[in-house]
Amino acid sequence: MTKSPTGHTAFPGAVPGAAPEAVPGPASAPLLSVRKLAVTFTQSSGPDIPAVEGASFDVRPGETIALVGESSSGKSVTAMALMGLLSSGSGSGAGPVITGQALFRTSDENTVDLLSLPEPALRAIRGRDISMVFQDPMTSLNPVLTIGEQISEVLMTHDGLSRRQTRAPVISLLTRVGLRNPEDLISRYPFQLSGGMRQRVMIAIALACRPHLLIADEPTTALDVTVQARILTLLRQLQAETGMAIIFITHNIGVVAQIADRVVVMYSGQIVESAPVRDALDTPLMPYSRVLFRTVPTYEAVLARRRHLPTIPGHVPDPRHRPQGCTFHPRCTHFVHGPCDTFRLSPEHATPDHEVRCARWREIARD
Amino acid sequence: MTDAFVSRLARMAVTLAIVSVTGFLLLHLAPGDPLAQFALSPGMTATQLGAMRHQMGLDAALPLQYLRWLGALLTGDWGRSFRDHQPVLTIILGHLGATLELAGTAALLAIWTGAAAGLYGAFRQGSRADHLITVASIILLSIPTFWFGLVFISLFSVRLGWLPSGNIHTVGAPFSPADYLKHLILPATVLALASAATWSRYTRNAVADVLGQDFIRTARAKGLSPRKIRSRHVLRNALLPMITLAGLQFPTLLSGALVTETVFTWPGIGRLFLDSLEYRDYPVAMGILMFSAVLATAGSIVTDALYTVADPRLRQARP
Repeated sequence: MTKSPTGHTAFPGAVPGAAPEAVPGPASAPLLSVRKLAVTFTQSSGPDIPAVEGASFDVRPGETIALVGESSSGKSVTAMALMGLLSSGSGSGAGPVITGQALFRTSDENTVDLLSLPEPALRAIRGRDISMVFQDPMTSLNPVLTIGEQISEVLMTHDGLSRRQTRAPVISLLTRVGLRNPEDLISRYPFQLSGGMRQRVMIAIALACRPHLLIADEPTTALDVTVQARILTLLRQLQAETGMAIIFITHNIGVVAQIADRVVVMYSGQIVESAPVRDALDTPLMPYSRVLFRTVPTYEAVLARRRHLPTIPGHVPDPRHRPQGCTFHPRCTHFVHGPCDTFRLSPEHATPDHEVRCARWREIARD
Repeated sequence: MTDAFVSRLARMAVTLAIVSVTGFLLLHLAPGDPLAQFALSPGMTATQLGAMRHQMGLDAALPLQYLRWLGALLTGDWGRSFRDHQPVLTIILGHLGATLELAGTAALLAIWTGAAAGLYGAFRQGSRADHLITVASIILLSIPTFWFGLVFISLFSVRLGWLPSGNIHTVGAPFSPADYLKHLILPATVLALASAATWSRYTRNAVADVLGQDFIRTARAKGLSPRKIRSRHVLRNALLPMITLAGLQFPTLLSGALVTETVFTWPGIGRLFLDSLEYRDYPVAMGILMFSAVLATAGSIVTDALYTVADPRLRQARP
């Protein structure tokens, strides 16, 4: 993250790696540096919908960032904005208004701003330097093309291989994602595969061009629990092999502990807390993350409370009518008049590595 | 596959049986008499009429008449026209060419223009062109074919004198391809209009539907160019519902030809059918009815087969 020397100012439009002092964590320069990303969906009638507001975070090479939050907190929109997939590529509909900056180091060592890059240049990055795995493997593969065709077209597009030349790499990709009988699989269609197998195929597609960054948008949510665990293991193992960074979008806190190096918590379109996974899970500072990480039902907790799971009272505010001040304040147990419901807060550094967007984090930290 | 095929044939037989009974009943229940034209001729006596009626089998009970007709049909005898005693099948086949040329041309026109307009609209959803195509399609669909026929004749034949108003070629002149094409343009266009509108609406919706699918997002995330996405991912999937439409449109084109052929005095099956109704020429009318029904059901079998080719999900999973 941005290591602001003052410790409490908001991201001062900082250039990545501007921090002079030594901080814990990977010393390498960020692979992706997102600054003040805002995504606003405009409607011809009705108010604008700010889906993401002022989101800033860094992703270092080889690091796994877990982007967590409830549905409609802006996690997926953030990912889609980075991929340039929010405007429909076919010229129909203008798409949302996207502002901010997302500096990305491409494989040919250029630093580009993903948010301002023209579509053709972005296309060269998509699938090659940044890949994406989606939530539902049942619908994310084309039903009328064979598995082989769907993997090989990435290689044909980015590596300029001919259809024939892709056969060997496709088979080796299928083997790498743990699928048996790859020679047979390449001529099969998605409907002949199970959900777990399809998600492995999606991962093979994503890995085809050795991306430096993999964005996984709830890749295990649609799968059985046992399959989920295997896909997570596979992702970890592939990451160890390739050294790619992963942005892992999930609302499953159990998954976060398994896979993440850093946790970025989103609530109602804003990043409310960002910290290394230990800090985030052990000493969350923002009241929302505190409840979020405690809503994970453990066996003991369920037994103790007899099917009484902790819930957060209230619901995520309508993005068109977000509350004044901290957007979480109507649901917050630490709410006080004044600091919480007057100004939009900026994230502050609790430690150089731990950022929180909360007016009362100091008092909460003392508890 | 063979089981499915047999069951399909069985269903086809049931359909044809229903068509034949309904058609036979309706024809005979409708007022009018095949012998009315003879009854008017002077010197025709009641005895002679009765003899004719008996010879044509029209004095038998209706169920018996039906069974006789059906029995003959099953042995390949389509009967003979009441009017000129030509074999029904010969008459139908003699008129089939003209109808196929007209309907075929119209189908090609309709598919190309309609699908092109639909694709354009789907790829530019919400644009002015998209709205224009939608409105035009709805207008075309709402106005009956004969109206367009009459308006086109009054405009292009009567006022402008560019194209002939009817017939398949200039009467008395030797056959020439140019002359034939000139006669084909107006009826084919009129017949194609409503069909093109259907194609445009259908294509637009099919393509728009595919464009909203998750796998299109995957294709974009792969970094494929829009052209590649359209040709490989969109069209291949949009083809499936369009095959269905082709099957559905096939009988519609034949029935549409009925009106168009009448308006443009095109010597095809449609006009033959109207003529046979007018003269209460039951054998010919029933023959055309059955012939069209066979074509329509066969069309749906072909559609199913094509669907299996285009959609891997409908093929049998390999062991």
